Amino acid sequence: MIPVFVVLLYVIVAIMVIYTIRHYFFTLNRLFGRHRQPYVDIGSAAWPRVAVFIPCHNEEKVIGHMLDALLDGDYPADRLALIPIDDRSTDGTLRILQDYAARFPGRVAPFFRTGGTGGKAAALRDASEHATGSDVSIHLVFDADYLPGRGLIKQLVAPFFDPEVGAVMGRVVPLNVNKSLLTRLLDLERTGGYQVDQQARMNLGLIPQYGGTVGGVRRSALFEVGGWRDDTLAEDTDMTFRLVLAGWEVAYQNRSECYEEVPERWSSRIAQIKRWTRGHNQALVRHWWPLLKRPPHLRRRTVLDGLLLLGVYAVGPLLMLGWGLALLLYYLGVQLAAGLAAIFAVAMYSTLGNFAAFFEVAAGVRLDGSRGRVRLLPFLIVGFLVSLVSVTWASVTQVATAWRRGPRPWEKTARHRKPELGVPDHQEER
Amino acid sequence: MLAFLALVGVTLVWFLLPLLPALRELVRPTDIAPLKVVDRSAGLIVYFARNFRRYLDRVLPAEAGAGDYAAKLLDGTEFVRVNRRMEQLATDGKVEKRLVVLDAPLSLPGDQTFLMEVYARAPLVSGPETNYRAIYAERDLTLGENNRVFRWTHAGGPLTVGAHSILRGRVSSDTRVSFGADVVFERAGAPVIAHGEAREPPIRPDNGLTSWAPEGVRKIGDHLRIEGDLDIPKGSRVTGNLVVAGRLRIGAGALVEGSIKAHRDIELAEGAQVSGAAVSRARLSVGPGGWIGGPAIAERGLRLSQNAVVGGPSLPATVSATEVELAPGATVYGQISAMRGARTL
Repeated sequence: MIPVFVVLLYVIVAIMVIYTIRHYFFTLNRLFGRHRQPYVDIGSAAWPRVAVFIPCHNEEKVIGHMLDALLDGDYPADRLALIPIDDRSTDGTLRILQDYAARFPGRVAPFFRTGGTGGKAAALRDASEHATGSDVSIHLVFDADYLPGRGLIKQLVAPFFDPEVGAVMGRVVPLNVNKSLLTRLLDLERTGGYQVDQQARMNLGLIPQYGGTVGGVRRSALFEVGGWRDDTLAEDTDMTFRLVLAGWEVAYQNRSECYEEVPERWSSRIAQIKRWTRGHNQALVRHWWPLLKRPPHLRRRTVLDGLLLLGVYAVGPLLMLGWGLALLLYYLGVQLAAGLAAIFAVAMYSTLGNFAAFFEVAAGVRLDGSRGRVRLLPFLIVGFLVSLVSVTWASVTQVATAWRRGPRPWEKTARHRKPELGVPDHQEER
Repeated sequence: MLAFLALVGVTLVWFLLPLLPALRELVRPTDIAPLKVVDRSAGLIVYFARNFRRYLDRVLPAEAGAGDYAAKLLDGTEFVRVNRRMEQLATDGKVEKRLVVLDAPLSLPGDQTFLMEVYARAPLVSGPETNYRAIYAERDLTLGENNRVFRWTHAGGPLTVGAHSILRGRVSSDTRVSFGADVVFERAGAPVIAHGEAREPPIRPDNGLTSWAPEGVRKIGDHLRIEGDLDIPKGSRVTGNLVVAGRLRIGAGALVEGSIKAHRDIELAEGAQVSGAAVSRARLSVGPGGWIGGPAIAERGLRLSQNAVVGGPSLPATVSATEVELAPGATVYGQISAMRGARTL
C-alpha cells in the first residue's frame, strides 16, 4: 500500500508544480510580454442590437443603481434593450422593475418568472429564448449588484465584430473594498485573477474564462451550443468550454471594468466559493474528456490550459490529500527518494500549495498602479486557507451527494449595499 | 519560567516582524479606495479637448471679452488674448509661454513655439515650423508644413494638416481631417479622415461576380472556418463570415458579403471589398480602391493603399493596429488608432 501512497504523493506534487509554473508563466507574461487588446480602440462602428440580461432574485437594494447606470450609458438607445429577469422575488424587486418599465417603455422590458427551475442559469435560459427578437445579435449579462460605467456596453460589444468571438468577458473590480479585511483580500484576489491571469490567457491565445457577468455571448453561438444549461451551478464556466469546444473564441477585455460588491462576511464568502466549486467541478466532469480529445481547431497548449482551468477547484482537495499523505508517510518512516520532489512536497505544505499565486497578485497590484494595498499580501494566506477548506468540503460533499436529484434553489450572494448608496464619487465626476 | 516567557515573546516578535507592514496597513489603511475604474470617456478621442474647453469655461473671467490684452485666468494662469494685434505673440523662433486665446481669423507666420494651449475662436492658419502644446479651434484649423503638436488637436470645422507634421496624442474634428504627406500621428477621429482628398466608398458590384464557396470548410454558428490558408479568386463573390486559421488573400474585385478574420495576414487586392469587419492577428493590407465596411483590426501592421476606404458616410468604422500606413486618397469614416503611430505616405 505504501508504494501506492508514495506514487500518489508524487502525482499530487507534480500537479502542484505544473500549477506553480503556470502561475509564474502568466505573471511573467504580464510583466514582460506583449499586451494584447485588439478590440479596445473600436470606438466608432455601426453598433449591433444588444440585449442586457440582469437576473434578479430579491435585489431591491441594488437593482435600481444597476438600471440607472445602464440607462446612463452611451450605447445607442434604439439598439439596446435592458431585460431584468425577476425570478420569484419576495421583496420589492418586482415593484421596482415595474416602475422602470413604465418610466422607460421600450428600453426596460422585465421578464418575470413564476415557475420552473430556480437559479441564474435557468433564468437566463428562459429569458434568452423568449424575451428577444432575432435582430438582437449580442446577449450581455450583468449581476444585479454591478455598476457599469458609461462606455462599458460599447467596450463589451466591440470584440463581437470579430466573427470568431463567441463570448466576451470584462474585468470585475470590487467597490466595497474598505468594509473589512475580507473585502480587501478579495480585492487583491480579483486583481491577480483578472489583471494577470485572464489577461495573460488573452495575450497567449489560450482560454480566457467567460465569468457570467460583465460579459456576454453572441446569440448565434449561444443557440448553436444549445443555450444556457439550467442543470449547472456555473453556467459561465460551462458556457466557456462549450463555446471553445465548438470552435468559438472567448475574448477578455481588461479595460472593460465594472464595479461589483464583494462579500463582506466570511459566511457569504464561504457560501459563494462552495457554489463556484460545485459548478466548476460539474464543468470539469462534463468537459475534460471532449477537451482532451482535442478538436482540430485547438492547439495542444490551449488544451493544456483548458484542462488546468477546469481543474482549478480540484486542486484544493488534491492538496489536502497530499498533506495527509505526506504526514502519513512521515509517521510511517518513509522517505521520498527524489530530493527535488521532497523539496516541492515541503514547499507545498508550507505555502498552501505554492507562493506563485502571491507573486501573481503582487504583480497585478503593481500593474494597477496601487501602492499600499500590496502590504496586505501576507494576510492572503488566511483567505487561501479558508478557500482551501471550503473548496475541499464542497467537493467532498458534492461527490457524496452526487446521486441526489431535484429542484435547485437560488444560491445568491448576500447584498450589503444600502439603497441610498450609489456609484463612488470619482465615477460621478463624468 | 521567565526565560521561557521571554523565548515565547522573542519568537512571537520574530514571527510578527515580517508582518509589520501588513498589520500597519490593516490598522491604519493608506490604500483602501476602490480601484479607479478606467471609464470609456477617458478613451474618447475628444476627451482631453473637451476637458480643456470646460476648463476654459470655468477659469476665463466673465468680464474678459474679445480684444488685445494680457491677463490672468481665475486660477492664476497667464494668458494673452489676440484680436487684431498679432505682434503681442512671440514670433521668429521665440517661445510664447502664455496660454493663447485668438478671437479673429488669423494666419500665424510660422517658426513659433507655444508652450501652453492655443484656443482659437475663429479660423486659424498656422505657418510652417510651428510647435504647439495643444490646440482647440472652434472652427477651421489649418496646420502648415512641419508643425508639431505634443498633446492633442481639435477643430470644430475641417482640420487640414500640412506635410511632414507630427501630431502626438489625439487628433479630432467635428467635420473632417485631411492629412498631407509624411504626417505622423497616433489617434484620429472625425466623420471623415483622409490622406488628401476623401473618397466615397466604392459602389458594390451587383453583377458580373461569380459566386464562390471555399472547400473543406466547417460551419460554426454564423461563420465558416477554414483550416490553413485561403485564396479567394478575383471577381468572385463569397457570402457569409469567414474565419481562416492561416493567411487570407482576396483577389482583385472580389466581394465578401460578411466579416472576415485570419490568424495570419489578410490581403485585399485592388478593388476587393468586404462588407463587414476585417480582423487579422498579424497584418492587414487593403489594395488600391479596396473597401472594408466595418472595423478593420490588425494586431500588427495595417496598410490602406491608394483610394482604399474603410466605413462610409452612414457606416462609421474604426481602423486599429499597432502601426498604420495611409497612401494618398486612403479614407476612413470614423476613427484611426495606432499604438506605435500612423503615417501618411
